[in-house]
Amino acid sequence: MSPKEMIKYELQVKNLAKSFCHGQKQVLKDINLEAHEGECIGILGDNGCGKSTLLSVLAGILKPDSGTVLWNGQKYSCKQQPRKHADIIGYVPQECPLIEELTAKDNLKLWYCDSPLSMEQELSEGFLGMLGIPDFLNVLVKHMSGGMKKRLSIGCAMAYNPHVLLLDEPGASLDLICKERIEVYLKEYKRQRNIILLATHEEREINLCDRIYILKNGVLLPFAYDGNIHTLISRFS
Amino acid sequence: MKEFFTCCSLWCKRILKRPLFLLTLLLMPLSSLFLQNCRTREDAILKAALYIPDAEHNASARELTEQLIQTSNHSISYYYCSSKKELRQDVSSGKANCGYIFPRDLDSALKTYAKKHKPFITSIRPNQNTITSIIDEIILGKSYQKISYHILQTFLCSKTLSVPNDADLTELFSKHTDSELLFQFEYMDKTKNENLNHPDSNFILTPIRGITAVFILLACMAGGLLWYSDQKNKLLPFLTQRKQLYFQILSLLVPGFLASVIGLLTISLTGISRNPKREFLSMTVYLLACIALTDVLRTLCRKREYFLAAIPFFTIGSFILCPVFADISIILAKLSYLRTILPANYYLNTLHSSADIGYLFLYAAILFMISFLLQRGIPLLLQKLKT
Amino acid sequence: MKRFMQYIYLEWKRMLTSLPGICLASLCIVFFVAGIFCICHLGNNQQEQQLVHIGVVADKDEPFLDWMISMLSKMEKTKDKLRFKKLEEAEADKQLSERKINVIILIPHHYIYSIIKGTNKHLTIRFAKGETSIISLLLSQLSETASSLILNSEAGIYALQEYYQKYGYTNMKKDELALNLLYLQEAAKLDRGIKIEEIQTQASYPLISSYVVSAIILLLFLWGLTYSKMLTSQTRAFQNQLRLFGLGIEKQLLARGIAFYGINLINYAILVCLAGVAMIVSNIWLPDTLLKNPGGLLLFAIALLPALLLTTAFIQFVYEMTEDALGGILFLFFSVMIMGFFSGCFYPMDLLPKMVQNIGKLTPIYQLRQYGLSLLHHASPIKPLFGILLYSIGCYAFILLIRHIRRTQEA
Repeated sequence: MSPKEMIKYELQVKNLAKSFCHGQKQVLKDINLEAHEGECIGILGDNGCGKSTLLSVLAGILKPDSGTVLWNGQKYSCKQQPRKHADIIGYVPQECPLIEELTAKDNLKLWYCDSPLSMEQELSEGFLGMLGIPDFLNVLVKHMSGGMKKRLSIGCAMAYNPHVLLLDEPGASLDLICKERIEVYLKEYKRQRNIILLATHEEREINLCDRIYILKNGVLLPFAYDGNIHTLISRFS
Repeated sequence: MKEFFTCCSLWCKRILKRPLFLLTLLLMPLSSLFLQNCRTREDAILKAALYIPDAEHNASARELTEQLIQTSNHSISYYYCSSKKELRQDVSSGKANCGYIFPRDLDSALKTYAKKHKPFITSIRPNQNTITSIIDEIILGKSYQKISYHILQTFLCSKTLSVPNDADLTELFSKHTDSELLFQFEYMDKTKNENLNHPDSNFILTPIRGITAVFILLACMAGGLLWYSDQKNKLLPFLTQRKQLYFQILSLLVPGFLASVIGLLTISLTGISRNPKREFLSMTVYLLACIALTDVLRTLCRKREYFLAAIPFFTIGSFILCPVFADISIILAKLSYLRTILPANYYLNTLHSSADIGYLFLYAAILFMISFLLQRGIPLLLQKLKT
Repeated sequence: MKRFMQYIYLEWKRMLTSLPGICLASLCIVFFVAGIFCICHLGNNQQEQQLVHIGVVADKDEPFLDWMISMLSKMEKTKDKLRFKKLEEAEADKQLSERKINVIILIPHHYIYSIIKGTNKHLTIRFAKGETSIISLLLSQLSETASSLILNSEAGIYALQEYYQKYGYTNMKKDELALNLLYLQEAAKLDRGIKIEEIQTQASYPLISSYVVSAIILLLFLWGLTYSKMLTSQTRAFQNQLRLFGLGIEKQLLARGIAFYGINLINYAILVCLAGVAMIVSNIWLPDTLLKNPGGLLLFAIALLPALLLTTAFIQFVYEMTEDALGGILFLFFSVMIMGFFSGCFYPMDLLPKMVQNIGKLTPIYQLRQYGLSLLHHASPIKPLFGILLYSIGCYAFILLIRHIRRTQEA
């Protein structure tokens, strides 16, 4: 068993709060969450309820007003310990973080240049290949479809083979084949004892989750999903 | 029609929400007002230092120099120096453009000049150039009253073989002298040239109209860039092609219109405008010409990069070829042919020439026609030929 | 470090995609400007002197007309530059509108009679269009001089008439004509009255050098009008992602700045090559300056690289402030125009009001001009170089501040 396999990864979020406009708009009030290795946590909520904000805070992009985010009992800052942080967290935002004027290959190079993983190896037999990226490696980003861009974004986020993947609506505006590809990939990723936190509206992705939370009025409420989407919808209202 | 007005108001909102665009629009009249009011009494384009040796006993030189100092304005100002050394230092340091040293006895120096043409004033200057020689002419002009008297006196001596009575002659001469200005300046359309009729005009405001013209052209071109991004984002798919054409013009019209309004405001605030109706008409036709030119460029340049490349060409070209700061055709007349492609050239001539308004309108009409042909006419013709 | 270098390379590569369009603009501008210089140069070589054609409109029997034309034609300073044409008013207006003549002098009906009677009608000088040069503004001063010459000469003639009448001298007509001619000669050679003494001045650069340097500086700034696409900020998501991977705002901006400077260097090199070719072909050089031969041009181009740094920083600052092409282009143009105006790019600085000069000395364009001029004339460029570096650092500091403010607002 490798050192990575020996360590059990755990995410703990305690009393997290975040507001905007100098406290006038309280988006997150008292967020408490735990995630363990091999788990996929789904975060659902109305449009504009704060799912992206929560993921941004967990990723370290936004600083919370109060509360803590601990990975295995420790805090990591992307500013102070970027490498360590990148080892742990991979973040795929809703908007694809790509350079439009360059090709997929160039974009991958930016993230893989000092990665422990070999980009070529990952393209041929790793998860980049699994995402189907070699098919459009030399295509300019501005000429790519939404699905291609999303897959490429996921590929870029995985440069350090992080233990935690934060995904913000990965399946939005994607075709069924793309969604299936991503689903297969996420299943494999989960199988490798990693953690996935997924903000989503897609039924398919909800079904992938081990646990579901609903973000409502700034508070994260656990929800026991029985596979019935109508129960979920009624819970929203 | 309702759609058109809705889009019009949305376009205005869209552009006015850009803070830097608003700031630039506001800066134009503000900076022009500043330039209008920044001159102090001491400021002048040219400064001439004057020195009179033994000033207390040199009444005629004092009289002449005081006349000069009284005529000081923002174009040329004169001031006294206490010594030749100070005068030389001032010219050397650039504090004065040139200096003039008067003789101890100006009257006898002028008399001697009338007879023997011996120089009566010494001019201290860095080098001979057009500007300082203009000051020479002015000082000589001021001295000419006495010189012409002495010339007359010398002439009468030689012709009448007797020395004319000084008091008598002076009386006769003074009776006919006048210090009136014999010249007035006007433009082709018979309007007064106020800049030249009033010598204290603020010359630094003269390029404002030219800069405004280039700014308006640039505003239209910058609006053209918006159209490229709208096209890329397929902003107007619900409109017919005909209506899309209107909105293409709108994306150029709105920033150009806002810039023209500010331009007119700037011109009127600074007082360089003498004929508001003519200004308004010229500006309107010029705006149409800028829109037409930008539309043609946009049609020809399918890629945004090429359109961007055209911007400095037309901007810099307008500054060099059009008489914004100086008229380059003075160097060589043939250069005036090059500026026929630039709308600012016509605009700057329209203010005193009705014919140039016509030329500007024709220019705009031709460009609109070219744009229409390129966008609709030629594709339609090709389609018909194919079928 | 590796990612930082990789990011610089990718930004540079991204900006390179916009370079062909910019190079096209460079090509057009250089050929255009070179074409103008060549035309001017050829025009001068063919000794086609630029004469000022003056149309004179007066009654056929106006006695003053010939006198005035003679006087002006004989003056040393004007005899080789002015040409007079007697025309009817309608024909004169037509030629003025067609630019066949530069200006019209209109002598009113019974002009001399009006002077005798004391009603003094005005001579009118009619222009085709407004004048913007300083010399033309001084025309009103010259008109005073011309008026003085005319009126005082006339005063002498009338005084002579009255004197002869009073004392009963004969040959009045003959002597009047002789005096007239004498006044003409004296007026034409009046500058004999001034003795000119030229002195050395302290470090003032020739006007032509000043305009050459101003043109180069303004060109480097106005190139920014084409850079809007290149300098559009990356998306927030991309910026955040870079931060997650250890490239904070400072490093991102530094990388961008380096990449942009690299691109600007390429554009600059192309410009220098094109300018060099144009100068070699047209054989137009600036003697007594660094630009006296191709080697000097190369040296000047290399020494001007710090200036390129400041223009790069300023352009980046403008586009960082605005994040959109419309505001950026207009603000860049306007700010450069104002700074250029205040710094003496268009009118020599010592002709501007003191307040304007004081403000002008604070602008970056002033430092750039001083640097360029000192390089051109082998003077010490240390002080302006320091100014340039200070302004460059200031621009980058502002860019950083803007990004931080934006991030704080979003957070």
